Amino acid sequence: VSINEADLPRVAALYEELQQLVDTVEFVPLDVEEESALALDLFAWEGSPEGPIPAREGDAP
Amino acid sequence: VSGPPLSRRDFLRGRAVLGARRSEELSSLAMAEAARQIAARGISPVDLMRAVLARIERLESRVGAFVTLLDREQCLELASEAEREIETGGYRGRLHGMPVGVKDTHYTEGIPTTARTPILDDFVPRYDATVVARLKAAGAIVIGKTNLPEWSFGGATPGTRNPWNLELDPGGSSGGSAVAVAAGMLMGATGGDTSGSVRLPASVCGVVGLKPTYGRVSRHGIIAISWSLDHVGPIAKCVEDAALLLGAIAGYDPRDRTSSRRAVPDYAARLQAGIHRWKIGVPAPALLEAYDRDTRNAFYEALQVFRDQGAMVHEVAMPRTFFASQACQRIIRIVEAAAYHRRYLRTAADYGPSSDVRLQTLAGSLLPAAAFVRAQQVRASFVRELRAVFSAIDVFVTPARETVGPPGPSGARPLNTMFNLSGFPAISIPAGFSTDPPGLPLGIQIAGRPFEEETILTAAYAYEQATDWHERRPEL
Repeated sequence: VSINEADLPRVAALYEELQQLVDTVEFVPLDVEEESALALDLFAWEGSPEGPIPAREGDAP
Repeated sequence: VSGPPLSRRDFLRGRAVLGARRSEELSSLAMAEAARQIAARGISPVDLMRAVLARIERLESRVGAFVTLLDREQCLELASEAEREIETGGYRGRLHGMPVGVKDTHYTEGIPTTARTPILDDFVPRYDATVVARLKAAGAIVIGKTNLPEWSFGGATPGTRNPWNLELDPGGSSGGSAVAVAAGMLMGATGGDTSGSVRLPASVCGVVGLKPTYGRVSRHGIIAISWSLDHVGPIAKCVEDAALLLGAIAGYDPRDRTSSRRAVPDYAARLQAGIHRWKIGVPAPALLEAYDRDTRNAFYEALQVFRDQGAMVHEVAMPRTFFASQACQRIIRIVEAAAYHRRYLRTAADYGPSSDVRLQTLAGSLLPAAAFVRAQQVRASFVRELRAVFSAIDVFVTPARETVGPPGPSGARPLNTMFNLSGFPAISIPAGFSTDPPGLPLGIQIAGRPFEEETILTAAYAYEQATDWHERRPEL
């Protein structure tokens, strides 16, 4: 993904705002157990339901 | 009765006036009440459709709630079909014959779905989003696609006006749905909530907005902002209507692999259970210091209403990671949005000239992967801690929003976005009107444990029955 020269100042400003959020998140102390508890199924409350893969035909261009 | 008999012309004009008044009355009915009248054959779906269409014809040019509307004849034909079906014993339930709308992020077969971006100007889906299909299966008539900011980005809805003050924005991003319901142009609607975008505009417009538990309502066929934060939920005139709409759209969908297999209860059945001896958690006053005085006052008055019904209200300590929860939510949102938008960013696609979605997603695509992982780690920790908080309370109540006026482009606050980050359900309901500036709806938010939508609906209904804020309608 490329960024136009003209857009750079605004993108840089937006990135600076995001970096402040990252700083906040980095500041949270997490122990090893908490770090390792990152799970891909954060929201699969009852495990992963089985089912057919969603059809892609007709999705947004 | 005294006075001369009416001339033929005045008699006819009188009937016309009476007809208009009757039409206005019908359009202001809550969906549950309209359903009772349809079931009792007091009114027909065609009466209701005519009333709603009259309202749209009178108001749409002023409030701009819709992106796309079905034409009048098509709407009346669908209402006639519903009427025939009901008359011949095919009554499908309380949504049957109800004119509803969906945000223009919901795929609608054969009807343009634009997410209000020029990129999708010509996009006509070949299937319905699961939410749309379920509304139709319940007998509802989807008559329009409601307005939103480009790609649902932001807390305002450009082009749509607040029905309580036409000079103001209605909040966003599901602003069109909230306005159409508040103005009696729809009996109910759905919207999307990634950072409060159902609850906030509903609160600004004086109606009910419900963000269900993540996985409760399918996201299949809904244009995404952020897959793990997006929720679809109802916007309604009252709590019972929200319960009816949620009951229709909730449930397992094999085409959304994050959807839950849990059974869907009859959400409207237990609304009257009451809240005697319920434990209501509230945030410490320090967390509300930045909130406008009117919003805080309405919140504290609402707590007294809960106490009057036998509930116990007490402050709860927020999770240790609460201070970083909104930062997590915003990082995850923009990184997932950047991933979604790569297909358009790569091709220099034609984003709208007045939005900065392209620039925001470009900035999001520059964040290091490590930052995203860290945000997910803190998120997982936050969810665990929040479960512990909720183990000691039945519901958690806050003001619905920080400001009296519309929250603005980035108006969601941690007390709103924490329920997108955690996936816990939350509802906003009307809870008074402002004094400064005067006459704008205020609201409270009620959150609960995952998949306990019945609980938050019961608490919301108990509050609603003790007040009349939800019965106020904007004068338009």
